[in-house]
Amino acid sequence: MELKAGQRLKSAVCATEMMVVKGKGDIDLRCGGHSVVAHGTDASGEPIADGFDTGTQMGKRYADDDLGLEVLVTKAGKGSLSIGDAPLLQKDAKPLPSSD
Amino acid sequence: VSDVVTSGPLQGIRVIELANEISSWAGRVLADLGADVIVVEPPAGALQRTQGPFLDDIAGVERSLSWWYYNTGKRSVALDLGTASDGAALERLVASADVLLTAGAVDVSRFRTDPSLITVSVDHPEPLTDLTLLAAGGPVWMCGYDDHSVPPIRGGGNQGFHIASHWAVIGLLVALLQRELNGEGQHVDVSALAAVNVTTEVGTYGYLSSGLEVWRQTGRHAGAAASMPTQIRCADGRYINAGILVRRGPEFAQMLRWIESHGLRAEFEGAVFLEMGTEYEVVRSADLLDPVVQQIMMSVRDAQQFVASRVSAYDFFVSAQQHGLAAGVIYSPDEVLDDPHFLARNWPVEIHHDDLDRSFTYPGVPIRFTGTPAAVGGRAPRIGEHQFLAE
Repeated sequence: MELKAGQRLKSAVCATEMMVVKGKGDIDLRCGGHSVVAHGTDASGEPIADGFDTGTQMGKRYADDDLGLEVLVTKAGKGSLSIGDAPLLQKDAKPLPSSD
Repeated sequence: VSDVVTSGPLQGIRVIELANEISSWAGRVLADLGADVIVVEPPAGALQRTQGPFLDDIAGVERSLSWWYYNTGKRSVALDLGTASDGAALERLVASADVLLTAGAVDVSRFRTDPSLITVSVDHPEPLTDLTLLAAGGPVWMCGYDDHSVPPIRGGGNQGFHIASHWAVIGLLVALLQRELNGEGQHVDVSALAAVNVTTEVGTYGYLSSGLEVWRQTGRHAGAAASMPTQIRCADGRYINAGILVRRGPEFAQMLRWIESHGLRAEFEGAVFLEMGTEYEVVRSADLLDPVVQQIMMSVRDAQQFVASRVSAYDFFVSAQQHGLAAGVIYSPDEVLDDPHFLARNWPVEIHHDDLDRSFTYPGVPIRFTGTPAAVGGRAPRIGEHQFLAE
């Protein structure tokens, strides 16, 4: 799927919603073992694939430094993110912006 | 004899200052504002005259740049206050004055027989240095680095003395106003320790109101919780302080225009998040619970880092300011004197030292008065240069 920063996506098989923070190009981003779909698309109803069921966490970032991809989970779900079959790892938390 | 200019708003006010490095900045400010400040020092010279650096790196009581800086626009009378005759001379001087300015353990009660006299004391622990004052008052705890295994640090310069002096000037000006109303002077007692403590921003009141314990942070205010770094290294290796993050929709739009002004908008991937920011009237603290809003806010710092990686710190500073975005190039203090903004204001001034037939650049007065212009007076006086005043 062609990705670009700011794009909103969702899992085809669980409640996970996300936004692309960094990265662009044709990237095989998956959730629950199935390719993610555009925000607003109906779920496929298929089951989460075995091994891709550890879940996503709201507000966490997941990244692949080699691809330069970073996604922000805006709604948690039961599927887990991957690029193809390779799990997408959660990034260390950044400090919240402060007023000072 | 130094040429003392008294055109400022305090013209006509005479101040007798007992030389002391803690209150000498107060005397300097009063002189800048036009007061006739007469500094009384021992016959061998004030202690401040022994502090370097010295002119041409040659030590001498008339060559101390510290003395020069803190005593422009003043006149000097040398008195040995241990002798009855000089003690009487001081009393005559004070009788001719509106204000007696002192620091430390000086008993001013014998001068209070004149009901219109204002006496100002900067009270402080004895013994004292600027370092111990800032340490005991709180600021040192709050100054340093994110790495708290690194000890606290203290900013350079006599900042504790300056803070105490500023409060002394504030107290004195209010007492002068009060004297205008009822003709009566009073004693103004400034606690140096309290003065520096009230500059600790959130430190003291955060603790008193909420039990917060603040910690020092690199290049930004101390806080109870870690905030984002604000210092960004630019393409020329110099640093910018990018300040606080923008929060209002129009500011996000300005930020996009700023990036565009550098021809970098197409390259900056995070522009899409700044565009989202333009849809907010203002991003409020409660909004930050939304991870998308967090991303919008982080894109501000990402944008600053992106631009910083491609322009010099000075260009960052000027271009951001031109777009209404707060940013400060991190200058060394001497570089400020060459900044075109300050030069346009004629802020640095040349002071002629007639005794050396040389001129030197001094920082000017930061206040402009349209009716009663203030100005740095002449060079600092030599020891007892105006001794006739005590006769």
